[in-house]
Amino acid sequence: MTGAAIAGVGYAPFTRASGRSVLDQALEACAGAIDDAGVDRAEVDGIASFMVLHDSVPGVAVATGLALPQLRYSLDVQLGGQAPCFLVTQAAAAVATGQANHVVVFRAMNGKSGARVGAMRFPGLGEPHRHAVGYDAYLMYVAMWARRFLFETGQDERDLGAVAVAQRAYSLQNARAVKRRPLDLDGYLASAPIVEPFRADDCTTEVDGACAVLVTSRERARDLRHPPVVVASGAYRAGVRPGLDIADHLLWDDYTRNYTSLLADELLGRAGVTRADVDLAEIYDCFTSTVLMGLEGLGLCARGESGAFVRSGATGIAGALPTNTHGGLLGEGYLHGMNTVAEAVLQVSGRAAANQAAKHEVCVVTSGALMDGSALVLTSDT
Amino acid sequence: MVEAAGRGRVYSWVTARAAVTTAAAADVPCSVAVVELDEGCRVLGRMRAIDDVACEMPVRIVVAAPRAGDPYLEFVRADAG
Repeated sequence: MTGAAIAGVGYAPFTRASGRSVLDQALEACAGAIDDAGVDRAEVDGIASFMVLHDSVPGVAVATGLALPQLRYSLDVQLGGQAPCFLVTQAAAAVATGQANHVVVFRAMNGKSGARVGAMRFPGLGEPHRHAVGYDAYLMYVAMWARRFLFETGQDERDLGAVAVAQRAYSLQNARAVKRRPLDLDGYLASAPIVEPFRADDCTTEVDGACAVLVTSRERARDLRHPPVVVASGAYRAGVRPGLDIADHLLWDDYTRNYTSLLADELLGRAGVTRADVDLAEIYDCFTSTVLMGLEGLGLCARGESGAFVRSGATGIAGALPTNTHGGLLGEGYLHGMNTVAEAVLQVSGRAAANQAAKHEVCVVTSGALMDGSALVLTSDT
Repeated sequence: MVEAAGRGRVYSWVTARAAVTTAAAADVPCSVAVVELDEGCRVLGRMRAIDDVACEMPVRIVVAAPRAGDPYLEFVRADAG
C-alpha cells in the first residue's frame, strides 16, 4: 500500500480536430479532475505529465494557467504510453513522502491534428536503420511483435479480432468513445489490411484531447466527493536492451513477451493481492495484440490462451474479468493510456455508467506496449 | 564484431499494404523482416517477394548496400535461384 489514492478524473473531449491549443485542453482536463474530486484549486501543489518529443506542454504551463498559488512538485518526463501508471506511482510517492498534498497527473495533445506520435522520427542511432527499409511507424513495430507472438503461441488473426469485437461492445456504450459503429468478427475480417497482421480495426484511433487524474492521500480522499481509489501498488520495468529510442525494439530478444511479464509478480505482491482477487483489468491497447500479450504476461490467463479467453466472453461486461471497459484506446481514443487509468478510477469508484462492472474492488491497469512500461493495482478503500 | 555468411531464418515479418507515414508511400506494398542470422545476430531488411515469407523460413541476403547512406538489406528464400 502506498498511502495514496486517486480522487478525481477529468477530460477534454476526444476529437479528430480540436481547433484548440494543447494547453487549453490540458487546463480543461486538469481543472475537471480537481473539481471532480471536490478539492479547492488553491490546494493543488503538484503536477506531473509526459510528452513525446515536443507534443505537449510542461506542468508549469498548467500551473500558470490554473493560477496555482504554489507548486511544490513538478515532473515532466519524455515517455509515451509507458508513462501514465508510472506517473501515478510517482505522484503517490510524492504524497506519501510529504512533497505534495494533491498532484494532478495529465496527458494532453493534438494527437491527430498536430504531432502524431506513431509517425515521429526520433533522434539517435536507432532510427536510420528502420527508415532505410521503409520501416518507419510505430504500428509496424507492434505488428512485428504481434506476428511472432501469434506464431509462438499458436494463435491467429481471429484471436486479434476477438479483442477488437469485445472492446467495440464497450465503446458503443461510452459517450466519450470515438469508435461508435458496431463490429462483429466478419466485419473485422473484412476491414482494410494496414500492416499485416493488423487490419484497421486492430489499431487505435488517434485523437486530440486531454485526460487527468488527481492523486492525494488516502486519508484526505476519504473526505472528498467520491469513494477513494487506493493506489495499492505501482511498478515500472524495462528488460535487457530496451532500445536506443522509444521505437527501437530491434535489440529486444523475445517479441512474444513484453514488460508485463517482468513486473507482474512484483506488482501484485506489493499490492498484497493474488490473480484470483483481480476483478477487472484495463490493459494498454494501442493495438489488439497488446491486450493478448498483457493478459498472458500478467498471468491473468495461460500462455497461448488469451484469444480463447477473450472469445469466451470473459473480458465482457458479464464475464469473469471485464477488460478495457471504456472500449480501450481502440475504441475510446489514443490518449496514450491516461484515459485507461481514468477508466480504472471510474470503475473502482463505481462511476462507470453503462459499462460499470459488477465487481470492482481490485483493478489492474497497465501502460505501455513493448519493451518497457508500468502498471498499477487500484483497489477500493476497504 | 560478427562476420556473417548472409544466411538465416525469418524471426518475424510484417507486410505493409497501406502507407502509415508520408515517407513510406513509395515503398508500399512491402514486407519487412527481422532475420536471425546463422551466426546468432538479428538484422532488419526487406523481402524481395512480399508474399513469400513465414516465421522460421530460411533466407539469404541478396542485397547488402547503403540506401540514401543508410544500411539496406534484401532477403530471398534460401532455396530461391
